[in-house]
Amino acid sequence: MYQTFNLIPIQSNLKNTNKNRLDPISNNFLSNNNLSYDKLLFSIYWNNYFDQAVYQETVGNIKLFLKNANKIDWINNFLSNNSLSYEQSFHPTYNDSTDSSYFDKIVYLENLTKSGNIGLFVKEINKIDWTKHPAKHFIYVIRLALEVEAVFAAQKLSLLGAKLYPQNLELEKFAFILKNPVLISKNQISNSDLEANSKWIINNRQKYKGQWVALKNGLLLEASKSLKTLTLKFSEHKNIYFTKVH
Amino acid sequence: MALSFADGTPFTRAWTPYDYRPATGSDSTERIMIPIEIESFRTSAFIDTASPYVVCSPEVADAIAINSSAAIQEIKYNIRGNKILGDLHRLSITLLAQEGENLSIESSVFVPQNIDKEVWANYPTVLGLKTFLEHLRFAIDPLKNRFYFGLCSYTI
Repeated sequence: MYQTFNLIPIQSNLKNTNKNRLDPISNNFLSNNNLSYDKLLFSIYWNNYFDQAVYQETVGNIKLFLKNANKIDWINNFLSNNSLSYEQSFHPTYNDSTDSSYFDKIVYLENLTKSGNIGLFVKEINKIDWTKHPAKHFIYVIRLALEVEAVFAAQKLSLLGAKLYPQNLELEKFAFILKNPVLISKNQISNSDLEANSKWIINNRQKYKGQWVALKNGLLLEASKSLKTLTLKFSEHKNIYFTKVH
Repeated sequence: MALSFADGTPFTRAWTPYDYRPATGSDSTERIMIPIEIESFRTSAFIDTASPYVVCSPEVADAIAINSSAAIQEIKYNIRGNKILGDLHRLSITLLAQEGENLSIESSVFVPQNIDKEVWANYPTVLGLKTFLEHLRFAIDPLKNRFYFGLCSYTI
């Protein structure tokens, strides 16, 4: 493992040079740290100091790139230079193109759910200007809200997310599934057998304890330990009432 | 008969008989269990105002063969102190009336996956509060074991 180092002091020196024309400061840095130019450049690449175009221009060797990828402790370099913990860097919503203050808010919300402070979690969700956040932040926080049973917050956020990101199919699905209940139909069809089935259960509960029963018009069709056995037998199960008796 | 306000306007428009019995083998208390249909599959569900979601028993979910790809997948939900992994679906729930109007309502429904049989111990289907019951009017008559239900015009 290579030591973690601060790249900033030599960044400007390296930016406009190549391996054959290294300045004395960078050269000293490399030899003191037992690093080759390529390894260092790879590290810099991973730390986002240079973009890929600069990297390819100065090295242009994909084989070397991949070889060095296996050697350099780029995770530690990346974390130390971006003041991130290991956990944060692998956070599902982390994206280095997003303003870090938005990312910080998501981590803050997550910590509130971990500490069980659900009231504050919901309040903070309402305070945030969500128009600045990417779609993945919405999805992540909706999931957090669902897991702590903040259903209304999840519902509200999914509707807002779907409105702000109409092309995002995941947010569209979240909004559809989480929206308020919708009446599909109401009709006057009488189910005169319901009371008869209920009476059967009262009278036979002890005898069939622990079993699934299939009932119709207050009569037992079949009993089984497994619901699957009954549904296979009565594949046309319209108006058959399946319940487990305890 | 449905329940009415003093001025004659209906409070609820239907009732169904309920069984007052334990929902699982390990339950020491009785639950209010009513007949419902989930996606046209007729089964029982118990009224649980402590549960935010409608929860579909894994065995019933298997019987109605719902499509997981259309769900919000892998949500953790705390049931009786156990974190259960499951999917949230949009399914139709029908409250069946012995007298009055059947109500078919589309709602979010939690369906457990990768069931640990010991943890679930034959957990039944549940009608929860936040995503279902709080959008309805309901009442019980414990003398006749009747569960009254109806729409709230301002919610559904």
